[in-house]
Amino acid sequence: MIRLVGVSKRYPGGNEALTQVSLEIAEGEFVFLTGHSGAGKSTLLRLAALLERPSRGEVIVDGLNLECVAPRQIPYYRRQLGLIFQDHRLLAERSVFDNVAVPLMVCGLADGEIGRRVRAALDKVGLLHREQARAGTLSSGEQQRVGIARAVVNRPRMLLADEPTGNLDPALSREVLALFRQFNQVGVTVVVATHDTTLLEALPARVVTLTHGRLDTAARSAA
Amino acid sequence: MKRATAARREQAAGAAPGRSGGAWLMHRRAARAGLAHCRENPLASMLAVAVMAIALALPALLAALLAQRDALLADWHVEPTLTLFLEPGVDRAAAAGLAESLAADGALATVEVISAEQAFAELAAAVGLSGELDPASNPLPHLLVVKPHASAWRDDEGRALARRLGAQDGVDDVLLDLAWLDRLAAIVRLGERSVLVLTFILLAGTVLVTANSTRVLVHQHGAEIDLYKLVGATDAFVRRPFLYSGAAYGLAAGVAAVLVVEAVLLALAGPIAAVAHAYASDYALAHPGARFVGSLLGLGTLSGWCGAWLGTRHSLRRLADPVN
Repeated sequence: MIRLVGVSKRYPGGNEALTQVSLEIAEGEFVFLTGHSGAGKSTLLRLAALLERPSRGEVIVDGLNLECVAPRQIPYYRRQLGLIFQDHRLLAERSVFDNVAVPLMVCGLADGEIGRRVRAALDKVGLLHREQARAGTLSSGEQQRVGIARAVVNRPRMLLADEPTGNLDPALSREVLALFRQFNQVGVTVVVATHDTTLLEALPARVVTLTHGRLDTAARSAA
Repeated sequence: MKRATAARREQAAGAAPGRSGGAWLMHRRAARAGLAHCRENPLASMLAVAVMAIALALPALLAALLAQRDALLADWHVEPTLTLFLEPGVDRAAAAGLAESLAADGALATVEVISAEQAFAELAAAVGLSGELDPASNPLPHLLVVKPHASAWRDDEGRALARRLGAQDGVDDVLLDLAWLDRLAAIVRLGERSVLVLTFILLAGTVLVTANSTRVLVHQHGAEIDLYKLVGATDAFVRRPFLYSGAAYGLAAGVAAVLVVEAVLLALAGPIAAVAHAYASDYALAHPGARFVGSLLGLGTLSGWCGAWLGTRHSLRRLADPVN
């Protein structure tokens, strides 16, 4: 599903976030991406979401070499992904419903279709009763669940989550992970970047460790 | 239609299969969002509209005043007229013959003969000496008063016509008694050109005002726009609400400018009627027509739209695009 071939990413200023990373994530796989902050986890996710392009190497997603995606085509590529962020990135002044509806509005779906899908997604994360609440009034855990509902409302084949439990206590973290597990069980490829090693024990999943921008093969075999 | 197809393309390529709401749904939503943007900052919106309205009203007002000249000239019954003084030796019959041959000239509308006796009588009456001057001592020649067609009175053609008529046998001299009309036409042309130049400058001003207001709006909605782009919004989708808010600014400014022009004309109507009355004229200020109002609204909307496009151009490039 995701294949990196000799990928390096160097930022202007000389800071190299990734060095010669080659990695393959199969379709339907659940992968933890771990390492210290600054190890390159976020960069790897940003490359897969075409928020950035590699300095060297190739990123191939679902058979598509991202190098071939022209700037005008990037929006359509992103619609196939579900992105989840540590800071939720919700529109605090808007209702929960409106927040989850954003990816569907962007595609221009009709109101009825949007209503059905948003409610289905909210139902899945257990927030159907809060659909009219202002997103800013929700607790941190609820906000992250809204973020997850928004990521899955477009029925993506791939979820990319960057520190999704960063602001949550252990109980809420486990709850969020359980949600990811559910989506994974229906065939969605899930990549979760986290520096929280206690999370890794909560789920039997493949762990990919990055150290200073390189794949840490020793850590992987240990896992 | 082009924008509609852009919206349709956005929908067609969505990863979400499902019933799409049609291209116009995208535009309806964008228009609603755009108007919401305007309402979020009522004071800033009103100030922007006021500045744009003034910038639009200035050239519009000049154009409206300049447009009054047609009514003014019609009221004065001014038509270019040439007076041909015939040579002293030409008698009345020869004058009539010359008039007849000139009447066949395609450039001339009317030819009138004023005999020396007629002219003498008019002159005597004008100076208050009717019946006291001896007609036998009449020094005046016969005259032909010629009115050319308007088409023969453009630019230098009037002068060429005067030269041609002056070269006719029996014509002593030609008087272009309306040389001032040339000057007036030149001044009007200068006025029209000034209005045009001023319009362009001030339209550029309205475009820049909208561009700046839009830039501020885009900045305020930065987090929202970032999110849209992260979930796969095209630039067109992100830009569309701002184009609508810019066009709304422009339209509102156009309406305000029409009101300003009308108010100024109303304020001038009274004094102008008094002046016209004093000159025994029934001249009255003409109100701008539907075309004038339409073009003011159209120009306002267009400049707002262009400004919004300019204002989003730079900001959109900054957001959520891959950097190498």
